[in-house]
Amino acid sequence: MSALLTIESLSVAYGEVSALRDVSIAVNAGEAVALVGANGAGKSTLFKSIVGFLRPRSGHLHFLGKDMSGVSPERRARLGLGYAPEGRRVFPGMTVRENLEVAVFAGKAERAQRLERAFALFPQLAERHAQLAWQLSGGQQQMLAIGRALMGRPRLLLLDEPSLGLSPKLADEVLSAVRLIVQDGTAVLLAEQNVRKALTCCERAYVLEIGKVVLSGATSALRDTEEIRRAYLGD
Amino acid sequence: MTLLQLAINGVALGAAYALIALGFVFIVNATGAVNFAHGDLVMAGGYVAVGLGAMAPLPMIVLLPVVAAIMFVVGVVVSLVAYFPLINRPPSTVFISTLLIGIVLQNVFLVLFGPQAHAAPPLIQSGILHAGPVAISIQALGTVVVAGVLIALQYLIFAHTQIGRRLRATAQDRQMAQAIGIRVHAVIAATFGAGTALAGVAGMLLANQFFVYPTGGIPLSVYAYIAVVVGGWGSIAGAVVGAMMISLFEVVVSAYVSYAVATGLLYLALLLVFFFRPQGIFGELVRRRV
Amino acid sequence: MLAWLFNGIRLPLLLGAAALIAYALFWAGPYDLRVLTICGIYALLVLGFQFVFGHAGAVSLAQATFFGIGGYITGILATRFGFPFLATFPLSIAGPALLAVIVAVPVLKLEDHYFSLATLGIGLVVLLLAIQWSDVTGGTNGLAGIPAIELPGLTISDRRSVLWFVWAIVTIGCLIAYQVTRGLHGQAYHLMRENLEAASSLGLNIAELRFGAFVLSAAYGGAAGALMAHVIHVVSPENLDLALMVTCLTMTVIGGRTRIAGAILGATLIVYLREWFRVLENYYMIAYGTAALAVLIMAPYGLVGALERLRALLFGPSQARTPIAVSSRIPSAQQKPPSTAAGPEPLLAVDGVALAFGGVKALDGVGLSCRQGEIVGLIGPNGSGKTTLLNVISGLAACQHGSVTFLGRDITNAPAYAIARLGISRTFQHIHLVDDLSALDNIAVARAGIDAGGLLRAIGTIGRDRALDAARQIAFASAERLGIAEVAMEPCGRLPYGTRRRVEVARALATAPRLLLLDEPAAGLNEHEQKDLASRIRSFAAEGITVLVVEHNLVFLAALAERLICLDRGKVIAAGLPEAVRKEPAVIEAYLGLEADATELSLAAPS
Repeated sequence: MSALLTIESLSVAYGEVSALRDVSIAVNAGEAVALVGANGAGKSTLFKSIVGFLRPRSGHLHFLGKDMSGVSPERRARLGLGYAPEGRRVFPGMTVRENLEVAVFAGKAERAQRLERAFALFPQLAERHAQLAWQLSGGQQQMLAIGRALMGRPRLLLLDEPSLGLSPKLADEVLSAVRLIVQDGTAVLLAEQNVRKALTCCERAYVLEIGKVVLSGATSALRDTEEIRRAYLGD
Repeated sequence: MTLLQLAINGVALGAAYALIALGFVFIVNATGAVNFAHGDLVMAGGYVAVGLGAMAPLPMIVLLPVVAAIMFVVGVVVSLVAYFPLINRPPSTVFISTLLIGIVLQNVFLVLFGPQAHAAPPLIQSGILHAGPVAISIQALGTVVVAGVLIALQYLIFAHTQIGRRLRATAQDRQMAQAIGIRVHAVIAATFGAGTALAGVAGMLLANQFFVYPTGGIPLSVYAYIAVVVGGWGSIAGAVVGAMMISLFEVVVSAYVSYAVATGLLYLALLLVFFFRPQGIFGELVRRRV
Repeated sequence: MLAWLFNGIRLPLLLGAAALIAYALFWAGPYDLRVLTICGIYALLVLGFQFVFGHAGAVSLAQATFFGIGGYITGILATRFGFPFLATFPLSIAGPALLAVIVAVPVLKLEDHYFSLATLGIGLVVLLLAIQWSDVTGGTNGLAGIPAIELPGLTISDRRSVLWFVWAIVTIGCLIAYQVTRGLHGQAYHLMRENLEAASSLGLNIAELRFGAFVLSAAYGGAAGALMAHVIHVVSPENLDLALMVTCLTMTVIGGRTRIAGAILGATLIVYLREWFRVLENYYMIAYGTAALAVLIMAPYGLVGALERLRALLFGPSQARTPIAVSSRIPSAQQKPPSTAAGPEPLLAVDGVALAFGGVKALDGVGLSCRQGEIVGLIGPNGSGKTTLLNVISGLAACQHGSVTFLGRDITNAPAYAIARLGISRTFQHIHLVDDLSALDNIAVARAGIDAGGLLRAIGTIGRDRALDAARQIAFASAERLGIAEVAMEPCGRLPYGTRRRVEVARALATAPRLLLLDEPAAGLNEHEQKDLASRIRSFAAEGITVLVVEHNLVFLAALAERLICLDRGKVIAAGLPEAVRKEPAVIEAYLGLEADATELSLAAPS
C-alpha cells in the first residue's frame, strides 16, 4: 500500500512546554486510522503540525512522498490534504453552498459535480444549502466542515474530534460517513477521545498519551486490551 | 439653493465618499484592521491624477485605469509595510501603524508638491448641465456614474464569483481559508490593493472640484470611519449608505450654517446614533451577549 | 534588596534614570532642560492613557482632548481671571474628569470601534469649539502669556526648578498608577482584558472598571495639559488635535501599554527622536514616522517588553512576581456557605424562560428548580439549549419571557456581575484563564468583585494590598479543595489542560457561591481525572453548595447527579431520577439515538 502520510520522530513544543515527543505515525491509501487519547495528549497539536499551522522542533513529515518542511498550509491543502478542525470552524457569514463552493479550485462544471457529491453524502446540508453557516446546529456544522474539506478531493482527510459537543446519536451519524469517505478514495486520519467510537470505524489506531505514541496496531487487536485501557485511563 | 439642488450635490459628493468608505470597509473586512491612512491614500490618488494630468493632458476617464493600477500597487506596498509585519499583534497596533503611515504620506506630499492646493484635470470635461431647475456639473455626473459602476462591480464579484467568495472566507476565518488552499497572504495584499485603488479613484474624482492638499486626507479618514460605523461595522451596503448620509448631511446642513458648525453637528449626530443604536444602522447584534 | 534590584530589568532602568538625572543636574543646557521637562509632561499623559488603553483595553481617542482641556482651563483661568496655580491645577484635573464622567455612561457601553469613534467624535467637537469660540479660547492662535507656576511664597520659573517640579508630579502619578494596578483591583483589569464574560460572571463590574479607568485617564491628561500650559506659556488648538493623539498612542505602544516604566521610556524616546530628526528639516517628519513604525514592528510589547525579553534571553527567566507567604494551614471555613437545612423553598427556580435569536428558539418555555445541596445534571442533544440556559441563569444572555428566581429574589435579566455577587458562579466550556498570571492569582481575581472595593480604595492603599493578600489566602484554600495547591504558583499558560480545568473550577468556587453552574466540566479529562473531579464536586455539595452540571458524558454524571433534566430543542422533555430519565423513550430518541450501543446507555463506570 502506498503511504500517503509518514511522520517520523516529530517533536512539537509550545514555548517551553513539549506537546509532542518523538511521534511516528503513517497513513496509507484506502484506510481509516484512529488517533486516540485524552485531551492534552497531543492529537490537535499533531493535526496542526500536519496541516502546517505549527512548525515542529524536530522530525520529518512527508505527505505523498514529499517533505513538507517549509511548505505553507495552503500549498499542503492543494496537494491533497483536507482538514476538518476541532470546533468545525465553518465560515459563519457564508451560506452552506458557498462554504462548499469556496473550497474548490476547479472549473464550474467540476464544482457543480462535487457539490452534488457533498449533498449526497450529507442530505441535511442539501436541505439547508441557502442557510447561513452560523445558523446551523453543531451537528450540521460538523457535516459542513467535513463536506468542505472533501470538496478539494483530498487524498487524506484529517478529522479532528468530530464528536466533541455532539450527542452520541449525531456523533454516530457523522462517524458513519467515515467509511463512505474511505470507499470514495480519501484516506482518513481520525482524532477522537471516545475510544469505542474511533475503533469501530477505523482499521488501525495509535494511542497518544501526553505527547507520545504509547500503543499502535490494528483496532481488532487493540479493542479490549488491558494496555489500551491503562494507557487511555492514565492509571 | 433649492433642496433638490442640494440633494443632487450631496449625492454627487456621496458617490465619491461611497467609494472611499467601500475601500475602507474592504480592508476592515479582510484584515480586521482600521486603516487610518485611508484618507491620505485618497489624497495620494488625487496627487497621482495631478501628476499624470501634468504629464499627459488626457481626460481623466482615460487615465482612470492607470490611477487605479498605480494605487493598487501602493496599497499592496502599504500592506507589506504596515500590516503584514504586525499580523499577529492586537488590532490596535495596526491602527497605530496606519496612523504613522498617514503621517509619512502627508509629509511626502508636502515635500513633493508643497503645501498649496492642487487640482486634477476633469474626468471628461468641465462644464455644467442644466436639467430644468437643477444644475449638475459634468464632473459630478461622471463621478456618480463611475462610482455606481465600481460599486455594482464590487457587489457582483463578492457575491457571485469564486474570487469574491475567497475574499470573504479569508475575512471570516483566515486559518481555515488557508486550510482549504486559499493563498491568504496574496488575498489580503490584493484586498489592500483593491481598497486603496478605490480610494485613489475617489481622490482622482474629488481632486477636480475639491483640490488636494497634504492634510486633506485626515477628515476623509474620519468620514470613512464614521460611514462604516454608522452603516454597521463590516457591512458593505452599510458603508455605502453611511457615506451617502454623511455627504447629504454635510451638503444640506452647511448650506444653512457654517461649515464648521455643520461638521460639529455631524459629530454630535454620530454620538446620538451611538446612544440609540449602538450597533450602527445596519449592524446586527449577531450572537452578541451582555 | 539585591535580589529585588537584579530582578527583571529594574537595574538597567534605574541606571538609565540615574544617568538622565545626572545629565539634568550637570550637563544640560536650558534647551535640554526644556526638552526633558516636556518628556515628563508627556510621560504623565501616557501614564493616564495606559489606564484606559492598556489596562482597561479600550482604545480611547480622547486623551489628547483631555490634555487640551486641561491646558485651556489653566490658560483661560490664569490669563483672563488671574487665578493662581493652586486653583487652576486642580480645576484642570477636575474639568476633564468631569467631562469623562458625563460622556462615560453612553460611550463606555459601546463596543471597540464604536467606542473609539465616539471618543474621536468628542475630541473633534471640542477641537471645533476651541477654534470657533475665539472670544474665550483665542481661536486658532490660542492664548498666550500663561504665567509660570506660582506656589505661595515660591515662583517656579527657572528651567531647572520647573523640571524638578514637573517630574515630582510625574512621580506622584507613577505612585498612584502603581497602587491602582498592582493590587486586587489591578488583577481585575487583567481578567477583563482576557475575557469579558468570565470577568462578569465572577462579579466584576466591567462598566465600573472601565469608568474608573476612563476618568482616571482624563484626570492625568488634564494635569499634563495644565503643566504644558505653564511650561510653554501658550495653549492653542494644537494641544488637542489628532496629531497629538497619534503621538500619545505612539508613545504608549512603543513604551509598553501597561508598564509604568514604559510610559516614561516611550515619552522620552519619542520626544528625543523628534529632536534628533529636526536637523533633517523637510524630511524630519518622514524620518520620525518611519523610525516610529520600525520600533513598532520590532518591539511588539513595547520597549519595556523587548528589554525584558532580551534580559531573559541573556540571563534566564526572572523570578515569578508573586512572592507571598501563604500558610498551608488555611482553614477552609471561608469556603463554606451557611449550611441551612434544605427547606421546601427551591434555591433556584426557572419558570417559562424563552429566548429566540436568529429565528431559532434556543429556549422555549423552560422551567426547573434546584434545592440547596442538590446536584442536578442537565443533559440533552447538541443545540438543545443547555449552555444558553446557563447563560440566562448567570446573566450572560437575556431571556425574552419567563423568570429566574434565586434565593427568593427575581434575578431575571439582571446584570451578570450582580448575579455573581448574589452567589451564583460558573465555569465555561472553553477555559478562560490569564496565561501570564499564576494559577493562584487567576483564582484570587474572583474575589476582586467582592473585596476589592473599587478604584478610590485602590488609590488610597499604601503598602501591601490587604485585600490582595486576603484574596490569595482564599484562593489557596480553593486551590487545595481542587487538589492543585502544589502548582498554584505556576503561570497558567504552562499548566496541562486537566489542571487548567481545575483552576477554573477553583476560581468559581472562590466566590463562595451558593449555586455553582458547571458547563461540561469533564470535557477533555481522562477517566481518572473525571472520577477525581466528580468526587470533589460531591464534597462541595455536601457542604451545601448547589451544583447544576451541563454534560454529555453520562458516565461522569452517573457518579454525580441526583437528578437529571433533559432538554431538547429548547424544551424540557424529561426530569427526575437518573434511572427514570434515561429510560424515557423521548430522551432515548432525542439524545441517545435509537441504535445506541447498549453500553452507551449504561451509566455504570467501565470496569
